[in-house]
Amino acid sequence: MTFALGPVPLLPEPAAAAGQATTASAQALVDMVHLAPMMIVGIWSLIVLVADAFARPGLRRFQQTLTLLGLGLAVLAAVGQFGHYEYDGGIEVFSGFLYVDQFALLVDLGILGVAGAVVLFAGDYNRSHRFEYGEHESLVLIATFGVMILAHAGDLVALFLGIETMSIAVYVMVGARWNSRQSPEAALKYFVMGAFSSGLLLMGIALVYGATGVTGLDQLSHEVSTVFTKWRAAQDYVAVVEAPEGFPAGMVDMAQDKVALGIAPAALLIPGVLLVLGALLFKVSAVPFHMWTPDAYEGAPSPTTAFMAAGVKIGAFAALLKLFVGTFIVGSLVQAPYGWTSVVLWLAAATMIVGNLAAVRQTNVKRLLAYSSVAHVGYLLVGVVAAASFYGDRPAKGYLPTADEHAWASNAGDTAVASILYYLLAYAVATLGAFACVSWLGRDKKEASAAHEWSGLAQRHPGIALGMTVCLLSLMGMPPMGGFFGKLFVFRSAFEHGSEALRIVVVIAVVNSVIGAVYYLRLIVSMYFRPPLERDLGHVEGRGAPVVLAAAAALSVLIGIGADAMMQRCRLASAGFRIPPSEARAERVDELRAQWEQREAEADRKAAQEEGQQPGQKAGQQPGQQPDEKAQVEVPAAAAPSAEGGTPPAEAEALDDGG
Amino acid sequence: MNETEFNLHFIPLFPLLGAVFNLLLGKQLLRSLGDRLGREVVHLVAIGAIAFSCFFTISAVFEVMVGQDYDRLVDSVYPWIVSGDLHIGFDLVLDHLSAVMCLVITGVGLLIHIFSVGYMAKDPDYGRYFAYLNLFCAAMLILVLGKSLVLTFVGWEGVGVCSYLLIGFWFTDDAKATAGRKAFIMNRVGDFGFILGMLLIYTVVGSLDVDAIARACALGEQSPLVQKLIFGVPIATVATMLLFVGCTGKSAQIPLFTWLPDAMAGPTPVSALIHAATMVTAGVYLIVRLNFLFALAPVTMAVIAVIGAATALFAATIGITQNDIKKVLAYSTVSQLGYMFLAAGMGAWVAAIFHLVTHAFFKACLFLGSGAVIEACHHNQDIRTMGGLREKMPVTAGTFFVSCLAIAGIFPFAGFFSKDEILLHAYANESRGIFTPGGMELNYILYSLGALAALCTSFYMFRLYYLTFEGKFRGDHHTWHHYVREHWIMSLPLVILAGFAAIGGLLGWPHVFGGVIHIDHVLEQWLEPITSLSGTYGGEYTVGVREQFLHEGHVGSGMELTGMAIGLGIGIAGWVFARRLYLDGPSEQAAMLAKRFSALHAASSAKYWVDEIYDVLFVKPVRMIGQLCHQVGDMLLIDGVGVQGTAGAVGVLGTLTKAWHNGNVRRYLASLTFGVAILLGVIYLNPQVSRGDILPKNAAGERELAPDIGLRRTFGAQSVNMDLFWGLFKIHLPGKAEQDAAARRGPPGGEIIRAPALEPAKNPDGRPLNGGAGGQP
Repeated sequence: MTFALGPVPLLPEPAAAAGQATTASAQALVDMVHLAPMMIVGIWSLIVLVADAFARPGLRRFQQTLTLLGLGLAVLAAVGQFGHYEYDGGIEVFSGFLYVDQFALLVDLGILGVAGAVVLFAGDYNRSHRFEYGEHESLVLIATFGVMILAHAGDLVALFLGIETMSIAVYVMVGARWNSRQSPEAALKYFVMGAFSSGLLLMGIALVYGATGVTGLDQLSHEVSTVFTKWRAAQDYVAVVEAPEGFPAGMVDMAQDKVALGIAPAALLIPGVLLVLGALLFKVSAVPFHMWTPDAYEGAPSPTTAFMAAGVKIGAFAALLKLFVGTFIVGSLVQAPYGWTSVVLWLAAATMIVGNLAAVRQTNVKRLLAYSSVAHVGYLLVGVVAAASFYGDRPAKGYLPTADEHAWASNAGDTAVASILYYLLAYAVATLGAFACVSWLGRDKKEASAAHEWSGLAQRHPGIALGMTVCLLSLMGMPPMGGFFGKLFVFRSAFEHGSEALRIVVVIAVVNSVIGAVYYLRLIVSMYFRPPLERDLGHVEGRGAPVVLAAAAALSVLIGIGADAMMQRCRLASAGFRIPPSEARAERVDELRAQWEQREAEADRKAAQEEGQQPGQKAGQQPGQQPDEKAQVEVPAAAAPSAEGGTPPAEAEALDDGG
Repeated sequence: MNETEFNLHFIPLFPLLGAVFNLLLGKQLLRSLGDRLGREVVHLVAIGAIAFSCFFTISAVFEVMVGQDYDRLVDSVYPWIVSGDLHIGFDLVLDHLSAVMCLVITGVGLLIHIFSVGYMAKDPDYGRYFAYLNLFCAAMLILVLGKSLVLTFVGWEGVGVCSYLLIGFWFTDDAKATAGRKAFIMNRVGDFGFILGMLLIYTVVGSLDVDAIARACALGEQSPLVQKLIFGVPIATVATMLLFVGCTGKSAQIPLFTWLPDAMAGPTPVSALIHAATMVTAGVYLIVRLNFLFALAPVTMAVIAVIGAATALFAATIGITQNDIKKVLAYSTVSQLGYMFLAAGMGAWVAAIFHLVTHAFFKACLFLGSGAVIEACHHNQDIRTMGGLREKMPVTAGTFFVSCLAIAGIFPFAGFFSKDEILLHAYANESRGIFTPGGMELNYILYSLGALAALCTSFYMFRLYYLTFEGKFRGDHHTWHHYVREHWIMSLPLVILAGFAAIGGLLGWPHVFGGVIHIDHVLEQWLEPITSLSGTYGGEYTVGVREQFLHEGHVGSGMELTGMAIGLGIGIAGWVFARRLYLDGPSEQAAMLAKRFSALHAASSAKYWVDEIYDVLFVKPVRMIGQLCHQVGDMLLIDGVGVQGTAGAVGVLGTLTKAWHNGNVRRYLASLTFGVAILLGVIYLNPQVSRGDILPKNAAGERELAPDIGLRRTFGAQSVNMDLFWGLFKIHLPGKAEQDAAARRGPPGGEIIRAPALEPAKNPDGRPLNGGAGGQP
């Protein structure tokens, strides 16, 4: 029994021996290639910063183009990687400091899209409101880099680095608007709060490390269960300690020691985990850690707000998922009385209630959207709890699960994670569109963010109003839009888990969606059915925001209509989420791919059969040949790296699961 | 079964496109192109659409089906609903039955479109009218072409909507709008049955495709539809009864017939198309379409026959005393539909369809004729103020007379053959011993009812004719001198329809005449692939007369000829009677008769007070419930408590929440700290943790995890404030046990553990180091 109290360093075994130095550097190079999207963004942030030194005030557009070029390269790299078989099982790079897996790559794609959109309309905005500054694009890239570290993190330290990289860049962006009083105030508030939460995070990480002696996520997921095994091993001595009569004194003391040793790691781990959780809940702005959100969102320049609402949220949720759904998956840590789900579940309920209720009374569109984003966090947290419960419930049931139960729970958990990803992306798209619209209205240091200034927008700018309406409807959860399917998937996952508390919270969430409709619809009503203001407040020059808005509206509808295809991609990203990068995870992905192929083949066969039946005797010979031809054509298509849409994938699967 | 693919979707598509065109552009066209040219474009598009549909159907039927000898043309347009195991395709099928229906719909529809050009010439809502008419045709075509019952139901509802729209076409008149609502609501009552019937079939068959239902019925008595019971009754019987409820709504049978007379509020061509020729026959079509299913439910069949016969007589007696030209025709339609159901209930599918076709011809002609009369008399519909119109409108009078002959069953007009075939079936199909009221076989009762109704039919139709066209004009001079002249565009359809009414009987030339002029019973041969299904599947309901005539010998040619003679005699008797009473306007004899049978007359002219009874039984109670729901449920609960209350509560809470965020960083930080405290507190202050007894236990009943990082005993033993974060700072031993141990040992033990486990056994007295530090004896 080796147990150490205090800061005894227990570093992971040094991977590279003396003679392997050259191979190690070669390995680093290979790792960099695996991390291509991230590396491109990181390097590009420096390039852009250097370019700023040579830029004249009139030529800032060049930096924008340059940045978009870099982001485009990163997207190309990520698109090439995402869905590739190589990353099915996940790859550990830099000795497990970072992972490259499908999950991280999908999040990369999402955050790159967000960054691209923000860069597209931020330049115009900054120019129009007279606070153009050269570092903006670089800051966006750095924040993006931070989010990508979070997505790839394979270590608690990487996680912390990611959060700090992201946050610090965002603090600067929030406060960058020097000609406004609100902006520095918001930045300061955000910074003070953020620093506090960073402290919590670091403290939590320290405690977790103290309890387990490791920081790597895959070792952690193993060590965490060892902690509870130790605790459990101390049970035999509890009886002795509780009723020492009749035992020799030495025995009682020894029992006391055993108990102390057994519970010590848990006594460190549990508060540590909770502190980390608190810090992450702050980053996603869940109640009661959300207080900074409306102030920071309102005070920040609108494009930055868009980045916070979409990008930072993606990053924070990636971290939350990685740690709490992917790593700390031990029944005791998930379930009451020592687990975190019970409290987070009710915090989720509180988050959506507070977010929605506060949004109802808002007259400022930015604050309104800020509270609405808080409400969305509530819905997402329900999904997080559901996913963790699926993974974590199994050992807590008090008996060893059968293979079927195990498979079902893992599958359902994966689906829940996929639902969260889907929801996040749909939400990010819609919220980007909404903030693009907010940033477009108003000019010359005066943002048109008061709700009454939006009256009659549809008469003055019908296209903008239409795009905004689509985005708002998506946020509201209107059926053809992506937001609806996000809610549907998340709530269904949560409902599938039999726990009563989860079901109650799902009901609360559905009621809250209705309350949410009030303020979204009120905005739409005022855009369409109120007379326009006499004085036109003008709008930002440039096409960036309308392009982003149009793209966001189109994507919102596309994600909704192609929910199947989108969900399939999310499902691919979440396959085997709880398993650390390994062959086992690759097997899960293979299973999934095989399922899809089989389903596709079956659908083809059915279609061919139906075609064969319907024409009757006359056409009876044709369909007999068709399936063979089709199969031959389809095999390479099915084997292609990226999962093609069009098959009834995860949704149907989830339905089969008994929804 | 010999079938091929064919682009059938063009048949309903073109009227649909026409409807869309006129709905979107109709008003605009009239405004921008000028009234005259605009109207030309509107009706040319509408007529062109239905004409295309008509010619397409004709070519599909005669060139492909007849010419190339196919039994069915199918068209899988697209998979419509795919959800789990449920696959409903948008599949159309043109078989022998739907071919007949399509020909009638598009043919008669085309003529009525043409007639409408004249009738609606001055209406400002020209485009809307033709759009609805086209839309109706599209829906009706989907109804008959649908391969699955779901698609049929789509058409079924579609025609219902169009009927509603067209009855209330002049919706500024409150009475007309109400009539539209009444039609729609009564149809919905029936549709309720239709839906339930469909669902019931789906539960057994697992599909609503007509072919799948046919396959399920193919086992006859062994079919699950018969074997499975619901409330002790075979599902086939219940399902068909429910479907029949739908049919009574759509086809205006007892008890849901009262909407049809009111539906006459719509434009007269609409009455001709929807409420005479096509939509109201949908019920008959549905029964014949599912004949194999109905054949498995003898009880339903008997009910259908009885309701059909009763409706036929009931409506005919009302028709005798009505004075509104369209009301007479409306009741006549209800009565004739009763005949069709009588035939269907007897398993005489061919006779039902035969009468459907001939009725479409002569009733459409009669309605259009009445439309011409109404137009000529400046929208006066009261026949007591008409008379002598033959002088002014000879074509209308002639065609009207021909149609009267046809509906009255005078040889050799179409109605004679179809009605006689039905009556022959009613007489010859001995009932299956299900109903023998008063020791009498059901078929004799049905025959008597039918024959009596035929007498009434003949009487009221000729009464109508004589009061309208013969004698002296009884209206005012102005109308007489300024009547609207006949126009070819209205006369042409009349003539064509009268021609069909005259020769339509050739479709169903009786076998008994086969020797005289050698013509086959065309319709019977044509429909054989459809009707033979019930023969092979249902067993009992074979194809009726022909089977019996040819194989069983129940119906001899003598019997058939006798039946015809009786039918003809009845028709002529009614004619002669009406001629005597009404040739020169309402005669004194008629008034005397009315006085002698005053009770009957009053009942008939008041339509047996059915509307009033329904009003008391259904409408008023429902209104009261509705009022109650409105006052209590809607105004008080939903609006008051629900909407206003929720909005108020949300507003107050929202204000509170907003006030909480006052922009003060200290408060924000306090909130954050509070959040962390919640996170930790939920575990450390969890009563489960502090009690320790109800912790999760494993299978052996042992506690899974000891509660020692909680506050279990420390609450009692030591200060609470320390313990809240105890686990954060140091490892704490169980307080009580510790004290106990310390009491035994002397001074209390140390509280901080210093890596004790490394050398526990090395202490000389066997105690671990931590205990020994302060606790040396």
